[in-house]
Amino acid sequence: MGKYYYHSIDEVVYSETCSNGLQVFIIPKANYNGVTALMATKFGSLQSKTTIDYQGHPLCIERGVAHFLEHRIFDYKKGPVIDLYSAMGSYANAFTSYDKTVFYFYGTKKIQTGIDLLLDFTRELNVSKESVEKEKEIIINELNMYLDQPESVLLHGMLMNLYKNHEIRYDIGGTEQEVRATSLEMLEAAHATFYHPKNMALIIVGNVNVTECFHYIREKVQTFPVVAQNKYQLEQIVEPNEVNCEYSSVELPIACQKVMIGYKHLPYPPTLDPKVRNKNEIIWSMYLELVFGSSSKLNQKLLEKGVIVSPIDASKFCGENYSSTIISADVYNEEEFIKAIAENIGTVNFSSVAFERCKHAEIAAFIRNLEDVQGLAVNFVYNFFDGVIALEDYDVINSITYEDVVKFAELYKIKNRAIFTIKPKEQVK
Amino acid sequence: MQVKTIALLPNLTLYLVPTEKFKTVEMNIIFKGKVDPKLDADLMLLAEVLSDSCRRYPKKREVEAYCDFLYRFSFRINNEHQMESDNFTLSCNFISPRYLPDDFDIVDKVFEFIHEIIYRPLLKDGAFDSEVVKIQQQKTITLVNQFNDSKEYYSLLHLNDYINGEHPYKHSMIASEEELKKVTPQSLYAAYLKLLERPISIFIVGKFNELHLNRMIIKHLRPGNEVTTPRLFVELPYNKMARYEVTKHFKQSQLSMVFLTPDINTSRVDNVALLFNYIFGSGSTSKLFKVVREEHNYCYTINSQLRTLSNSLVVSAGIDDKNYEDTILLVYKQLDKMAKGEISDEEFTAGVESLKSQFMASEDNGRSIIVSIMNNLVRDLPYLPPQERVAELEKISKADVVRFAKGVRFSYSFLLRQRGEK
Repeated sequence: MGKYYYHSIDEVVYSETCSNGLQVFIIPKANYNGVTALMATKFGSLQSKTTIDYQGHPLCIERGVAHFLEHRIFDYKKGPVIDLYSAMGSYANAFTSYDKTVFYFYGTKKIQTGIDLLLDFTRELNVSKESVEKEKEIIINELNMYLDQPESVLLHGMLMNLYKNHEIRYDIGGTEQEVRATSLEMLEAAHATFYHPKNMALIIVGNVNVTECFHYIREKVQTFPVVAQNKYQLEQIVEPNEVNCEYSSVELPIACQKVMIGYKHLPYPPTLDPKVRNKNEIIWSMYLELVFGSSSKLNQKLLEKGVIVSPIDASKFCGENYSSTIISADVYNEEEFIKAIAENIGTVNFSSVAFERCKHAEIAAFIRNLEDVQGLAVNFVYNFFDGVIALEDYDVINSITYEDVVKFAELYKIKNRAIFTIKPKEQVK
Repeated sequence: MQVKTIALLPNLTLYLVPTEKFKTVEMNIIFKGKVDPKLDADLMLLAEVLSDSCRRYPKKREVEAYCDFLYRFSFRINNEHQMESDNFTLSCNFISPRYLPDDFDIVDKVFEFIHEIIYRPLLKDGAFDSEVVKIQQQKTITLVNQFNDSKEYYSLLHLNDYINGEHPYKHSMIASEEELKKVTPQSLYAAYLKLLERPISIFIVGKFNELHLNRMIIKHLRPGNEVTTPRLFVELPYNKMARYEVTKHFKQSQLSMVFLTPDINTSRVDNVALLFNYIFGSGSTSKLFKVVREEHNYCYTINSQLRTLSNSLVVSAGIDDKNYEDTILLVYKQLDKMAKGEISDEEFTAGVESLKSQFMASEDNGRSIIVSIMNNLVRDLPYLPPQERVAELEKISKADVVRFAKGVRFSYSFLLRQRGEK
């Protein structure tokens, strides 16, 4: 069991790799009443176009399988997982992202039983053809719900414009047709492949006895049969450097126009040291905050001139094999907004004093995240899969200099841009 | 965790929860008055104007920049109604001094800043700056119109109209476009002066030096003399069973149903209501979730929420049009089952255990602690530590829940009917 104490933030992380390859982390919070335990696998929508070597034959899985699997895994052989947690007074849920699926529970007692269940239900898939068919209707209802959310429509439109071939351009849940085409065999193959302990991590944050907890997990894991992970081949996709479509728009009956501008960058080389990449991403966020954030000159100017309705939202959007900057706002004047962003991106229009303020804000955001057991667990697992320990960010932020951020602006020398907008449509009475 | 109540000044009451548990300090400053529908649009805009500028930091970006300097001092000003009570609230959160450099006196700086925001607004010729007001007016009107982009919000807003009928307190704190347009720099200033007459309540959770904190509060905050005793509980009219429908552009319909409940405003009964609601529709193990979503696959989400101050319960679900009648029937049926005592031991135990966990978990978050104290104050009850709430909950029997279910009556339904093509 490894132990790392982070003095400046008074937090400890304990870690261990189990005999079956599962990585386990515990961040104890002695004064808290509750505990979050989270089990995550590196399987999200980006791994959808995969051919799995399953029971001696190659099997191609559909888009949306990661999300579908997330739904069905809750149907455990001992009963619905949600009910089992509820009986312990705990709350359980799950979510699927582009490159991960995460299952978690939150409770204040019977934590060991909860962890036990978490290790079991994610390991064993209990599905029938009938249950797969039934689940399709629920998932389609969920997909339809997103169609009524302008923010979802906006991001989806943007990714379609930025990327020509990359899987990131497709919805995490897939389309209605893809959901309908999902089979029991696909779910079983995906589960056997991506829910292998070597592909997963368990993170526990909250009021637990660390020694007892590790001991228990160690014993439990040793009872699991050792199985080899299926081989799989991700579909090799060649994504051009250019954007797929420079501009497109749709009309929806919304109150105010929404504009999203995306800049497509070259993805990080896979060999890049994760710590270097992590520092770079923090610098990236700070750069965007300084140029477009709520305390930037540009934001104030655009609000005063009546170009935008609410503050600009600018963020990095990156992962394995994709990297982009996404900037959006609700606008009164589309043309002026696009022009202003184009004129400011890649510039260094901030002082070293502003940089120091931004650093304060970044440190505060980091400290706030430490208070939220659920948020901390999620943040921790995301960083861990990317090869980084999230609690080290405090020192990383403190090490960043004004010059680092100035230098970062060079990223925008190549302006590979796409725009997507939702225009208000007059509603039919 | 104990709450210390201090009458620091006449009309200024402090509720302190000292704890070393958190790395930040959570604080709410409330100017409490009586709802005056004529002032709602002004107070809504006033919250925006005070948030965005003051004499020392005239521009929004200067306010934001100073907040960043204060290690992202996060604050929000808003105006909320609790039936007759109008709470103009500044809620904020700042990093505990322990995690900041020794020479950074954050508590002093935070209170100085709050003083600037509240007591030194940007004025011109005896009123708020007309340019600032104009920009805020336009921004707020757009935001108000944007609420209608969400079918959940649209449904609740319209449902509110139907529920409250001609009730004098039906007026939403979200002003309409017309009301916002009528606000002038002068009317805004008049509303501001009235606000300063109100008494102040302050809620603080975190680690602090109490003596120093009190000094800062006395130095920077000035309660008014006005004392109001607003009514907080209102009986909703039970007119008739009615259904309303509106067709909009959405691609999925939104069903909302309102039920009137027995009185849920005393601590003991409140727990019965919470337990009833958990089993009926609030959790993902609820009867509604199991039957409407899991058995019939009519929706992705369905839930019920208690509205304590008006003794009502609202069921909401995103459904396909064609399942409207069936869904309504299924909801009725689940209520009927509860009234007939068809609550399994598993459902009952899950409800009790989950609520116990929720009570205990409420102490893991500074904001929840403040909300919990405030919810008790509304009912003139002392703050109950989670352990005591758990003990209260354990006294509840299945028969209590069944009795409660028998008193729940359907009142209205509202269907926001889909029109859009998928």
